[in-house]
Amino acid sequence: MRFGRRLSWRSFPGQTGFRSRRDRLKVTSRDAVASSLIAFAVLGSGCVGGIAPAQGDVPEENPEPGGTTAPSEAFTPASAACGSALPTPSIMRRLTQEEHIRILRDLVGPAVVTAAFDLPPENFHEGFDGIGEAQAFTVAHLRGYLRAAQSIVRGLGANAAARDALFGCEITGAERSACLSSFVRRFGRRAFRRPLTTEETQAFVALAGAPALAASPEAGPLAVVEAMLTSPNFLFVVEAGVADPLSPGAVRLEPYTLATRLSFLLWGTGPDDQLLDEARDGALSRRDKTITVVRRLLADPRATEGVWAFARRWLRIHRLAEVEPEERASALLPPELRASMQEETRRLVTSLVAPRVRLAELLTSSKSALDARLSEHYGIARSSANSGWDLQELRGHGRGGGVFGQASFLVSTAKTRLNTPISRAVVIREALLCRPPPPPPPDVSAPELGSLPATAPVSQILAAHLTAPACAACHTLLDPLGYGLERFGRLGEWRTSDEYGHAIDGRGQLIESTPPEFTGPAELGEKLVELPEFTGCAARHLFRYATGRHESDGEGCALDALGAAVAKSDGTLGQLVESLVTNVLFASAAREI
Amino acid sequence: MHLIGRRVLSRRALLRGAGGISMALPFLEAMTPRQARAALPVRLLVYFWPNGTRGSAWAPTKTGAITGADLNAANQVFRANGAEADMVPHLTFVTGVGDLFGHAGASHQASMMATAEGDKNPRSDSGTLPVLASIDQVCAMKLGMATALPSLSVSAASDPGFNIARTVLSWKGPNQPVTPYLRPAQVYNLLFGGGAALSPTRSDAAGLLARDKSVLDAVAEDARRLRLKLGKVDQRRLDDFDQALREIERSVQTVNAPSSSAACRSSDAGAWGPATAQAGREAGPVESLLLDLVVLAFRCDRTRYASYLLEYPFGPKRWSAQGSPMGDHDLSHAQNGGHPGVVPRTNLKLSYLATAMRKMAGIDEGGSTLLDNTVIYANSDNYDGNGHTRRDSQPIIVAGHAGGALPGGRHLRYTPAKPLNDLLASLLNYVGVSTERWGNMGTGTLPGL
Repeated sequence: MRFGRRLSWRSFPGQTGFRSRRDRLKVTSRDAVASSLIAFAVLGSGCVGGIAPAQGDVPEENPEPGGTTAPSEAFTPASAACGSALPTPSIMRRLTQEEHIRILRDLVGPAVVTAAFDLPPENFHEGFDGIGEAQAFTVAHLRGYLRAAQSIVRGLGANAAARDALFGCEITGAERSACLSSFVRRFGRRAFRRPLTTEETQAFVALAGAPALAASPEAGPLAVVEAMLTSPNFLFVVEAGVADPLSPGAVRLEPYTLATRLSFLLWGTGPDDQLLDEARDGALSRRDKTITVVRRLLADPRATEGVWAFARRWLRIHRLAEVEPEERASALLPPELRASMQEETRRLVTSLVAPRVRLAELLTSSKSALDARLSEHYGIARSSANSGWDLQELRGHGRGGGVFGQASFLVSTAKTRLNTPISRAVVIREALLCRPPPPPPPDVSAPELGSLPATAPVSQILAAHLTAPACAACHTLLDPLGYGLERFGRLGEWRTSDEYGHAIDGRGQLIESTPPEFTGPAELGEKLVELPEFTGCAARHLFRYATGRHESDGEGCALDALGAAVAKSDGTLGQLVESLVTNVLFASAAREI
Repeated sequence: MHLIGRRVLSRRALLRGAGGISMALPFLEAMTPRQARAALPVRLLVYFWPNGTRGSAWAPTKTGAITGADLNAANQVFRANGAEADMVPHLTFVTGVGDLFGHAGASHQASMMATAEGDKNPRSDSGTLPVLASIDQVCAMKLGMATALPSLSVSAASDPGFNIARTVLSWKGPNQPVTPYLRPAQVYNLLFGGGAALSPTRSDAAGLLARDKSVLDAVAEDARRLRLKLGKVDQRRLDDFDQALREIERSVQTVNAPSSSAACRSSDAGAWGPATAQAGREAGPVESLLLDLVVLAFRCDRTRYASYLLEYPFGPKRWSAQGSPMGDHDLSHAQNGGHPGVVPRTNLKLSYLATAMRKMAGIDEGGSTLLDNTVIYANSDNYDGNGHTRRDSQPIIVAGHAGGALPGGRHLRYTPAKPLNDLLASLLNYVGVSTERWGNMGTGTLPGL
């Protein structure tokens, strides 16, 4: 087959072929995929770690696609001020439940993927469920994935139209053999997010012809679907790269891996055929073309869902449907109200995908879309009589400040009465400043909290946090910050006094800011986005989400620098993404022994 | 992450790549210890409850043999009470065993990790992710192949949280958390909703079986090819995959074999009722429902190793239906630890365990009870919740009789204090995993237990 020969995954170890670098070079002169890899390895020397070439320096014409562009020109080096930005080793991640469903819909069509599959719950680490180190893989997972694959095969068995569209050719009669192998290659490339090797293609074609699958003409190819959707190549995000000649501890990712990272980052699903073609043709080895690709991905409707999937994890509001900040939360926060809360934030977040909207709007927007349910919950009279979503001015209602004034955030971060201001402050510091408080010293005793009754004002009960030496180091970073949002109860409702009638003034302090004092979410948001940490912290979260691991100290420093540069420029989400994915940080992984 | 252009496969990779067969052998060898000789398997339940208690109200008033009269105020719930049987003869209080080396990091979540896995975590940055497997997972990995589920982890925590370092009790290893199930309905389906993925319902079961095996063989082959490309770290994840695949292959082969023990008939599960399970978290006390399911899973031999998280230390659960107005962590610090609700709350936090023990004591397994054949290990993150003390002692209860080997009605006190690792080593031996010591900080087993 055409693709099979040109795009064989031949540079994988275990394949026959490469005996020496010269051999490899010979072969790769005919091979678009490998040529860009070799370009990484061979031509990259002398450039990486130097000064980033201006965009115009990239040659416009390539005699062979992807073949002569030095990859060093494709990626901005990490900030030199940060020293070594070596990647930390990580363990490959599994598709999250959400990604799994989205990919299945992409692969076989939504008509066949009807229900959610019964998979074990995900672990969330620092907000994300796609962190390899924190993920579980047990027999219950594999059973769930297998059941999902089986249910899809059953669905395809009963849906001739979907089946024919999937096969794309005549699976019976004289054309069967050709159709089968083209189907295996095409479906395999989408499922494994890279072309199959010759050996893989042969193995899956052989499966389709197994005697046990002779019951019907469809049985064989459907078994291929089932096997591929249960394969570790599908279920895990397998990344590949070549040794980075200038950085012995690092690996440069090959184009299909880059395409996969891009697509999961921006769409929350695997790459489509066009993106895989672009990877094949070398588009991701060139900065200008990479930016074109990113703009296409962001303009696609899938980016709305993808960016929202990222942001609701980043902002720790992903599990709003499950939290119980109050004992009677299920009655006080019915599912419809929680859905409205999420929708309010979704509308804010997805507005950031548009050009020329600064990322800072996330924390400074003074307007918000409300429906009747939320308006009532917030105690804000609606400006129009319609029952749908309506953009409301929030100044004068104590809200504003983007997500800081939104119930989705205020409810998700609430805990018990005493813990709520602390918990909210921890989330703000972790998610928006990337300056989490240090952990308490071991065996810290809490007698300093005194013996006030439980009905005393929270700030009085916690007052000793700010004076006792063992507590103050952390709690001066936390408690006063949380007090600034205390005018919102644990259900996100507006209040001026607490449950025992003590007045709340909503005054807080953000230590990093000068002066630190603020009142309420709008002032907090204004202060926070002025800090250099804000955009860098967003970059760190994008990075964690895209790579499935926590950044190293050096990488973190470089991401901060990258964010600061974006903040000084347009400061849009799109610019931040472009800057990140064209940086060598995005295209690297730790090299394993 | 794998490296393209790596020219020579290491011998080690080739050996590994040679396949599941060579890997499976040591695993099977590991399945032959004490367990195989016992008439009935010893089950293990790890029970975690948050925020400790009032330190002065915990230890029984004397050491050695004790009765209900010797219990302290915070554990009265185990005494005989009206129709409720006395559980003291079935349990051992252990004091003077603690998180001796102190985890780096927070005094709640890090020590929650320590309760089930021991050892100090050298990673000072995160401070809380474990370095060892928790003992339920050690048992599951060594002995868990005998049942449909190697282990079962459930959490009655009131919200799922967004950081596993704070909410997950069971770990297979340093970066292998075992996600707890939160919903009774999901656990019920896991246990009884056609446990195996492949259960042929049509008459041509043999034909379907052959088909399924072809698919699984192709997947196994694909995994072997992938293994050749992966680095060492990623191969660990593939190990998880291969192990899961072997378990499923096994269940395909034995798809028609009845997997329930004699003590469990389908009517038992039916009587418990899928309707109850479907009702989910909102309908009843999720704490009891989940623990009932653990007992049921033991009884029906669906699994032998379970962990149960009542609530994580900073969880917002308030138990207001039981008359308590405050979150558990708030309560532990209220009035400088002197809040009158602390001791009743401890009894409440242990009441679910006491109830489960009474149920297990009532389940006959042919001359012995389920409680006789179980080891229960209950612990909390702290001893005194207000003082965050946990090094010198944790509030440890060991219950059940491990098939007759483990006596009850005792209070053991260790001076000077012993590390938690030694207790865990003893428990592993009771369940059937022979070990002389556990973890880097272990010094041996706990003498006298």
